[in-house]
Amino acid sequence: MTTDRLSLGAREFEILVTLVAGPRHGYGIMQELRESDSGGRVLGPGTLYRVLRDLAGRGLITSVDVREDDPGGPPRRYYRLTALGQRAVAAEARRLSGLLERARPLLQ
Amino acid sequence: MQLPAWYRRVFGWYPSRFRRDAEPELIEMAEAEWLAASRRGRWARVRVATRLAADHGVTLVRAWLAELAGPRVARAGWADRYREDFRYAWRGLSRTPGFLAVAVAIIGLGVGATTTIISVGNGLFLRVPAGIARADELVTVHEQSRDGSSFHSFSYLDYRDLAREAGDGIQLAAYNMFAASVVYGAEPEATLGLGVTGNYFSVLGAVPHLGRLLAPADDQGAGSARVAVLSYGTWQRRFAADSSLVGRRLTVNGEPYTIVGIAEPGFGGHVAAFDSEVWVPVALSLGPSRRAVLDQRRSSWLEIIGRATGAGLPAVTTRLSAISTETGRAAGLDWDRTVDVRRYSPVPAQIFLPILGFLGLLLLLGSLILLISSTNIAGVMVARAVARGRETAVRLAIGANRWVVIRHLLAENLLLFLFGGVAGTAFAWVATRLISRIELPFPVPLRFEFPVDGRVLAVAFGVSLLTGIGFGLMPALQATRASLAGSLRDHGSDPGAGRFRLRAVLVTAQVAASALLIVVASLFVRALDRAQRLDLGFEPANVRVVGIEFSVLDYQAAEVRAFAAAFEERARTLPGVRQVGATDVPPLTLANQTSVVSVEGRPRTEGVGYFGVDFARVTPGYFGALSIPIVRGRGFSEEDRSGAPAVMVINEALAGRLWPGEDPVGRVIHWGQIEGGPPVTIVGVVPTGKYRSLGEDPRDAVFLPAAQDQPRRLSFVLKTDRLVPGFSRTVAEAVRALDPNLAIATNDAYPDLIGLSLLPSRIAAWLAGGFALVGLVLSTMGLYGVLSYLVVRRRRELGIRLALGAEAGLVRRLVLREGVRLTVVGLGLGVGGAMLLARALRSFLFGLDSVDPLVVMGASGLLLAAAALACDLPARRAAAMDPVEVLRDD
Repeated sequence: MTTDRLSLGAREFEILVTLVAGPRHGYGIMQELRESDSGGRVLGPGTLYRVLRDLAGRGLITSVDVREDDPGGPPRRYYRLTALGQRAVAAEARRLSGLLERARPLLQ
Repeated sequence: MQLPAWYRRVFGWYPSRFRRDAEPELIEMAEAEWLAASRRGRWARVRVATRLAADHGVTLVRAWLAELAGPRVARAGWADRYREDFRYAWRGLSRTPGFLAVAVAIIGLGVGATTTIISVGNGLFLRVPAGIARADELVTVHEQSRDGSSFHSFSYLDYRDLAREAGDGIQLAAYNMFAASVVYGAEPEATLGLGVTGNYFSVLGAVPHLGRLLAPADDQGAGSARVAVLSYGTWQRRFAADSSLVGRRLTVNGEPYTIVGIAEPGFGGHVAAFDSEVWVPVALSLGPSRRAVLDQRRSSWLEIIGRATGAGLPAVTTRLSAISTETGRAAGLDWDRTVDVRRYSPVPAQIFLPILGFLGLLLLLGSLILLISSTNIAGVMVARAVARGRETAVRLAIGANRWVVIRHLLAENLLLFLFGGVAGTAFAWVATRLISRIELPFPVPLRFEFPVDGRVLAVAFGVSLLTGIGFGLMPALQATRASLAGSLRDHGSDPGAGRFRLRAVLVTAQVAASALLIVVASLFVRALDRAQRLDLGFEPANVRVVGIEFSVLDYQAAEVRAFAAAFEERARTLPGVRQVGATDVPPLTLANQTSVVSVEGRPRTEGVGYFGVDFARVTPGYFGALSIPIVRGRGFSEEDRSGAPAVMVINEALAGRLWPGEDPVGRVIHWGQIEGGPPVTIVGVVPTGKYRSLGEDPRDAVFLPAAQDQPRRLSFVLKTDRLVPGFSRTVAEAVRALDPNLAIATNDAYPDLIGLSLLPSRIAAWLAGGFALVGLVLSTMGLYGVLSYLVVRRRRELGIRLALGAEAGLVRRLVLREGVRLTVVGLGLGVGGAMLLARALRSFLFGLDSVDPLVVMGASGLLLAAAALACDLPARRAAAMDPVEVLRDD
């Protein structure tokens, strides 16, 4: 159960990484993904939403609705990493950097 | 720029729970995307809009699936739940095996018809021929003529310039399809071969099965090596896969070649359906006496295919056009010659649109039958849902979620459509195999392969799934919307009104689609009938066409003339033969050649000073053999030979355009060039015939004496006074007696050859007719069902009317009126649709472009008669009700 919940796909990992620096709203995540230029396909709003819901369901992120300066506007939903999410990102990053070390001879 | 309104509007279709939770967030993201795209220009906007639409679609389906699955459950529970749904649905369906079988057959027909047509399109357009690597890099290049018209071929010199100068990342190969006479066994056989440049195979990425393929070293202009590559199929069929074949001799067009290799299995060149048997160096595909054109920039005979790695189409076009302009200028052209570069398609650019149009028409017909069968099943499903109304109501009453009930109904429908999809795929599998067996009366090596591959399966599955969900959701929603109490009491304030309306709409759609099919089918039948009686300008009955390609044995002009004279003389003595003539281009055989005639002293404008014309070289007996009357002047005689004054016969269309209202006989025009062509005297006028297609508008045409020119092929036309058994063999023997090495390219009855140009319309007529018949039966059944339902539903009302003294006739008329109303609305929609369609179909209808009243009346009569049949029984049943019993039941 836990291994299933914590194993991350490349796309999920990328999304979680955008939240390392701090909470963001959905549009912010999308922008970050586009600008990070990791070569992946750009996600549509609906798809991103679904992945975020899924990550939240697995306890890796949590969301909070924040009412901003504009009092009439709808609240914005911010996502942030949970403690579990932070551990999962760190573990995946460690795993990847281990892989990177082994591939490094090819990069010379 | 504002986010397009549709993006917001689509949220209206989402489950409300999803909307509440996600809509503002999704809109915010989409807006930001849109804003960013707007700054990057129009194409970025189109891309983002497409992505947003796709994203919407996927999310919408997922949202509904999640909604229908009910409140969050563990994932394992999902699968179980769906399995349970389907098991339940299967139990329901298998209880009525008769209905199941009929429904599956009906859906299978609809899915099968569309899938078959999609398979054909897939096989022609999307499937890259075997043995071609990375087809997405391939391009085809055509020269653009001065007036911007495209698809012209290149001269050898032009090709060499382009290939040399094209630069890095662009490799160009050229090819020339040529009439080949190949001696595999004892006798020469006519086929088509491909002359290719040395890099043709490497540009395509083809590899040999045995030996080697042609290489640049083989391709040395007129001094090319006499080497040939055979296709794998030819090697198998003709040489029993003899592995010692490489290195052996093969006679092609009378010249000896060495077989250097066998292409890999399946490879037949890069053109869809064309399956070349033999490849030789491009220069050798011309007969020895024609090889002078290798050095002529004006002779265009090569097609170019290329591979562009790293450069986009615009860059390639720019580069090649620049070269073309430059070499054109150097060669003395006074305009900027450019080229047209397109992405490679297995279907050649010249016939891409006509074929796509025809398939589009067939697909439309197929979709109509799919629509009819789906709506028909949907109607029946409503009826089944109603029949089970009590069961449904009970389930709803004891607290079942409405979605759970819908899911069960939907599962039943999906199951039905999936079975139908399987049946349809089987249908398509058989149908495509039948279609690929079509044989043409020409020695063109064609191989049609329309595999039911992954793509086709995906379409069949997708179509079944979508129609299953779409047409299943309607009855399901309708069935569960009914008022609970109403259904439980089984009567009351008309709970079935909505259902009746839904079924009425479904039946109207069926009637409309059937009417459209009937009208289209009758249009085709009328057009074909008209085509049979059309004045062709010649009489093909009892004429045999014997086509011979002389270029394959490199006959010289004098030899062709000698052969023609000898053969005509011999043919006249054959049993039953009345008249004999010959032409290089027989009309209505899918071949044509064009040139220009010009009048001295007039401005150089098309239609004033010069005229584009179809032309044919004919022998003196030609007009007689095809029963073409000479309306003015004379035809040709033996005196019109080489060295005698140049003469020509023109048709009435051209005569009318050259000198309206005047006699053209005796006047002189110039042949072959816009300015300064050789003078030719007009000696006769013939009526305007049909030359290229039956549907064509009158064309200007010119006939030249074969003896004054150099035809490279001739088709002899033998007019007989009766059918002679074994005539084709007799004719073949006559040819062989004169030259045993000549291969006969055509040896067919003329009407059969013309029939070929009727083939697309025949296919459309058969399909439309067959579909119309099925549609008629189905919509009649649908109409019967809906009216029976009406009678049941209004039983109480009708009963009361009868009890209050209404005549039985009145009640009957009441029911009939309802049926007629549905039929007439459907009829109107269908006929209207057919009228719109008729214009688009013009080219398949031989000039018929409007729906005439006779067709409309016929179609209406047919449908109304069917409708009357369908209404009759329910109406009688209504009139025969016993009011006492009805009211007691209450």
